[in-house]
Amino acid sequence: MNKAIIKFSSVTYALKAKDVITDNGGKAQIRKNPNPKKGEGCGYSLIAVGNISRIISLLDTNKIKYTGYEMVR
Amino acid sequence: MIYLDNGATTYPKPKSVIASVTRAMTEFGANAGRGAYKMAVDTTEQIYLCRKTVADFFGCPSSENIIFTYNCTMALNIAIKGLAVRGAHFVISDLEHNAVLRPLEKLSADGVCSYSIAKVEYDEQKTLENFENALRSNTVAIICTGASNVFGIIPPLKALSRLAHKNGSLFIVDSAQTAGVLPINMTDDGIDILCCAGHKGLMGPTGTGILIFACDIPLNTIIEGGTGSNSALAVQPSVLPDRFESGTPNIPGIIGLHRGIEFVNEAGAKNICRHEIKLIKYLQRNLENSRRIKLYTDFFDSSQNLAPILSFNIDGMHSEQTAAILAESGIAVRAGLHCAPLAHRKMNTEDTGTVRICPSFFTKKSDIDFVIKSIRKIAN
Repeated sequence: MNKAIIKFSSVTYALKAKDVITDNGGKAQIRKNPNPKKGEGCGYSLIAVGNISRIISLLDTNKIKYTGYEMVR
Repeated sequence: MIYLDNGATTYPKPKSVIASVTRAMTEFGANAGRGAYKMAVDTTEQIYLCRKTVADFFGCPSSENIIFTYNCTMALNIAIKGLAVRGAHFVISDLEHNAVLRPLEKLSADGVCSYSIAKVEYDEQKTLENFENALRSNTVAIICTGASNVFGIIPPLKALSRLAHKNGSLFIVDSAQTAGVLPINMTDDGIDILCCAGHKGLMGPTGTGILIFACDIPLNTIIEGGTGSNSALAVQPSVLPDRFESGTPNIPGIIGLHRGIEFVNEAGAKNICRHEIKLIKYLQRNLENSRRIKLYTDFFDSSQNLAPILSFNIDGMHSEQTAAILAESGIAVRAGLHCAPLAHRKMNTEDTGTVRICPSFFTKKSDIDFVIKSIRKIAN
């Protein structure tokens, strides 16, 4: 089990991603972007738990736009 | 009161809708898409759940293509003005509401774009010829009502969609009167942009409208502002739905709308339509033999494809006079031009307007009996 923060440009995508992840056995919790980069401003992320490469692949397959992700310990 | 002005807004609303709005005001009181504390996330999820339900209801492939607006007029304005690049041309039907006509007239007066009006006839082929003749190489969209808000006339939408697409134009439908009453599937019907009222057939509260894109169409925005996303940037976010949803949404309204759509799903849109058509046919049967009562459509003529709306007049009376007398008997109907002067011009009722009767799922046969008695009394 791995954990990652996945960032989205819209909260609607974050919620859609949460649905896809939980429907496929993963876990996801919605958060505001914890450390927005300079110039990024507000936005939402998911703390996703599971097989992250599979989760990212699921988001791609379902055409859910994310702006980036980073693994967390 | 016998309420038959459901074409303006449905009343009463289902009890479950009222309860959901109250719940929204008490349990989902945070703003949506802004904070990350529990109530803010819960509220945001409620809006998202409504998006999903709307997408399923109208056969829209993606929930992010659902844009919440404050009414159908706003949805139409976003669609029309977003497409109105200089030199663009639109084709609209001769049944359109002022929500379509006025934005185009303004754009035309400002020299931005032009529009043509095509006649809808009961003969589908003739209707298609009229629209085809109106199309130009620079026509960006055909805009057509799902059904006339005055006479209930339903244009041949699927065929018009094919015609628009053959010309490289978009097909936009104003479903203010039909959403929740007649079946709509954007994919099957070839609708590129669907504009809905949330507070009519969908049974939601007033202050709700929906703009739905079949895909991400590159429209310009007409309202920009805070979206809770990419806030460091001065430019409006490009992603849907944020691109068209600036400012705080009508959260209790959207939550109520969600419950309204669930109500329609539970009752069955087909059953709702069947009930309303049955009442309108009963009304027509009981009015059509009176010499002084003029009806404009015939629900027993299979060549007329009609939504459950009946307009009438009494000889020698202005529609407003008739409606005022009916109001004294506790009957709520709308008279006048119904913000649709094009439709009245088409049916030669521009001078008197018409009295419009729109039943709902909650209208009973006994209500219609009382209305028949009251109209006959005026006519006699």
